Amino acid sequence: MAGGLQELRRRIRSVQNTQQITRAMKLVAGAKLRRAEERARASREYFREIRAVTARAVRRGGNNHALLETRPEENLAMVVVTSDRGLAGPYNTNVLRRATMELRASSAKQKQVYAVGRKGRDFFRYRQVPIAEEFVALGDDLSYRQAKAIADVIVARYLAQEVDAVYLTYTEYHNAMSQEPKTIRLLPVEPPAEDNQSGGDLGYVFEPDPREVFEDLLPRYVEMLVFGALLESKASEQGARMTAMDNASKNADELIRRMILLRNRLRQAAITREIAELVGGAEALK
Amino acid sequence: MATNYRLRVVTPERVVLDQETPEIIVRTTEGEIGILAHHLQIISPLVPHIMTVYHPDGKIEQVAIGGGFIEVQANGVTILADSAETADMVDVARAERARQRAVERLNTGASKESVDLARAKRSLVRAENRLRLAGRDLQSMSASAAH
Repeated sequence: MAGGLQELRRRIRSVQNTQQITRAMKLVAGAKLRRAEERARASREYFREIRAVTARAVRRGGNNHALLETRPEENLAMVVVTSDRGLAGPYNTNVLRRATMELRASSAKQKQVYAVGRKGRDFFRYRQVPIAEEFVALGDDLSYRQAKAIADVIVARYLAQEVDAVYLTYTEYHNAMSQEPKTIRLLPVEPPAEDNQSGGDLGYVFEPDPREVFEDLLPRYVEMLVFGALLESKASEQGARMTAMDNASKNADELIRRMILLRNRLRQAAITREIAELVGGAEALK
Repeated sequence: MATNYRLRVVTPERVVLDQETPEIIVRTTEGEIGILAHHLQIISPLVPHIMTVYHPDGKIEQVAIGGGFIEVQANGVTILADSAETADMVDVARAERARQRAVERLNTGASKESVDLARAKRSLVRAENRLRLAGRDLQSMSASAAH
């Protein structure tokens, strides 16, 4: 019986140690979340603008550019944004489920994955889904350059007709408690809907001409879609991790509370037994 | 009195300028253009350059633009820049390093692909623009400006 007490004490200590880790992770995720949130917010203005510019430009300049041309979707590529590390609650599971669903729903002959983040790479590798390219260890401070590197590869493969359509699955950040996996089409570029406050439809001159302008504008639009998705996903990851670690810490509290009750009961039982034995021994000596 | 219009300079990282201006001067792929209020509506790519912004009070500000777009609309001008920095925002040490790297690449990489050369040239221009904006005298720095 004393062994049971020892065992219990050890478990309490172990849970307390784990709780220290989950508490620390929660604090770190909280600090990173604030930064990630800030960056996602700061990028939205540019995103809104380039969306609006692209919408206007496509409407006025016609859609004679390779990145706007739709082809039958025989070769499909899916970019999936996950985290490099786990312990982020349902974050990775949710986005991977969404991506898997989309891949299954597609009738394309060939499907391949562009994995951003270790978790996604490992997931698809295990399931033997062909991984065309992987982008791992991007870190917490994402740069536009990293997004551009991803977009460059995709655009090049699309222009070389190696893929006919590229989709992107990422996690949209609402707040620390709620994030939502989403899938959007990257290529061919879907002309964004124009917000109807278009300031007067006078002439609109493309300098030097629509083709040259699209040549510069459209790849940037794709880069920005990728960059935005990376930032949203990063904020989602930190939010999910913070929430998960908060729950873990609370669960540990509950577990420790219950084990301490049990430990006290066992300890008291042991003391009572010892006294009984002492009394019994003393009686015997009389 | 010149009429003012609204100018916004936006990068993927943040909004750099959002203000009234009577005139700006930027360099597009077709050449340098000045834009006053009621300018023709255009959209054009920008090359890396130092853009000039006039303030309504007559002061002049310069902004290093690392390429991007200008869109002139009836209700204002939007510049979507890959990067944009005013003089006090330039990270001199970083620009210095970038310039060094670009110079080395240009000097050693004669046999490399033309894409890499073009990229190195662009980043050299960007770095030199930043340094010039921060008030560095490029002439007195190590010989390299022969591009």
